[in-house]
Amino acid sequence: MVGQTSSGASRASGRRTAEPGETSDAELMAQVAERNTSALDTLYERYGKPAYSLARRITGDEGFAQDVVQDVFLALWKDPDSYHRARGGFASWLLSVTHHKAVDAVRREESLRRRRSLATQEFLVEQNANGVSQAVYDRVWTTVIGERVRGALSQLPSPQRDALVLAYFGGYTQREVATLTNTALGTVKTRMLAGMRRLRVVLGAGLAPEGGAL
Amino acid sequence: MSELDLTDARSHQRFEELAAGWALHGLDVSDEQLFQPHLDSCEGCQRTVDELVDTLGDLAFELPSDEPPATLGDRIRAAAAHYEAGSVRPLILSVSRKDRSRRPTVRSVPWMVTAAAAVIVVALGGWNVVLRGSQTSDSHATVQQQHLIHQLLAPGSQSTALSTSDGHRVAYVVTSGADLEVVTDGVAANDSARTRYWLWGVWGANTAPRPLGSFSVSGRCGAPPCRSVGGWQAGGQGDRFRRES
Ligand SMILES: [Zn+2]
Repeated sequence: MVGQTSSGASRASGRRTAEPGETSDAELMAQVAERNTSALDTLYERYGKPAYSLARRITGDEGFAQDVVQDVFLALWKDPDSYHRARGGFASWLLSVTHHKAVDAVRREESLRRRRSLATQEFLVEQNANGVSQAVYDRVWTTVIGERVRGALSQLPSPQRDALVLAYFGGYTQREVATLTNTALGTVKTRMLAGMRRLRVVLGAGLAPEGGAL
Repeated sequence: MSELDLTDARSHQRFEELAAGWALHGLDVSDEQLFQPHLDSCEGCQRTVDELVDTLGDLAFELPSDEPPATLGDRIRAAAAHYEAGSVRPLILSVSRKDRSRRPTVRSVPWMVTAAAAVIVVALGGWNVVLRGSQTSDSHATVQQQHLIHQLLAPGSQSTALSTSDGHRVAYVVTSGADLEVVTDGVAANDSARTRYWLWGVWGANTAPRPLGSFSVSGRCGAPPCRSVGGWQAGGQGDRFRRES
């Protein structure tokens, strides 16, 4: 629902799996702490692409997406301990930081907010309309977020899906989502948690094939 | 602790909902202020946030993949280098090529051969860089130095002089194969426990400077330059770097 569409067919990157004997992310971060620029390079080679893909989808702008990714990796360089303060896996953490910075960019930049507003209107109209044209549906859902993500999200009840899409891809706060969907704030909060837990099950079970049931 | 009673399961459900908003970076300020202290002390919510962040990571990895422009990696490298240089006080030296007549193949050290300038910076801020005046006015020292430089210049080696803006040579960068050595002569000694000198290569106006290695200058040597036992390591006024390939 957000921003510009990607050109051409592109495949999901998927979570990378470690090669046998390769340096772990945690080890690379320890080397970054020792000011090893090659370690930073390696981390960028591993995660620059998914970070950029995410930032581009949220900002809808290649230039801002590049700025976001640069910010993310520069933050690693400036404060390598920030990862140790976080919990969980490095890749998810890095993408969470990327998401955070991309959302901040959208909230900060008027041009990105305007573009988001148009995309949001289109998204909400479609969600509320029955029998929406397949062409529009495909453009918004498939081209922007991809078939695999659409497949996962389509297994959620639509109120949960709307809340998650608006928050994650649109960068709206829970309160803003409540306003946009004309829903009580408490209900939006409940939906987001339920939607994320459902998504966890869906993704954990492997993504549905494209065009999963709505 | 908060207005919510943690012993009440329904109240805690409200915190878990805030955990979802937290993971999505979608909390309003007031909710964030409510949730942050709770998160710090509640292992259950920490686990919930971890799981949700992980789930969002899975989702992000399933997005269509866009290739970032090739220049983005360079930009990041440059930003990191700039950050390092900006966090220290730079001692900027201009470079004059001082090649031996027996010129080696230039492929050995592309960054120096094509360098327009090189920068030596002190690795930690707060250390006051003081350039001593050139100590090479002493003819004896100069002879010693030239002798040493020649010793260093085995076949295939090349040296590059680093000078201050007023023309005083203070160091030589000697390159041989994949090795790079710095022989200093007039660069102030540093407290190696607290600071290091960093040698940065700059090769082109639009290219990011890149750290080549660090070294210390000992104050113990009387006549410069001096060479320590066991190569150009601690106590000497030179150091050896291995080029990253
Ligand atoms: Zn809790």
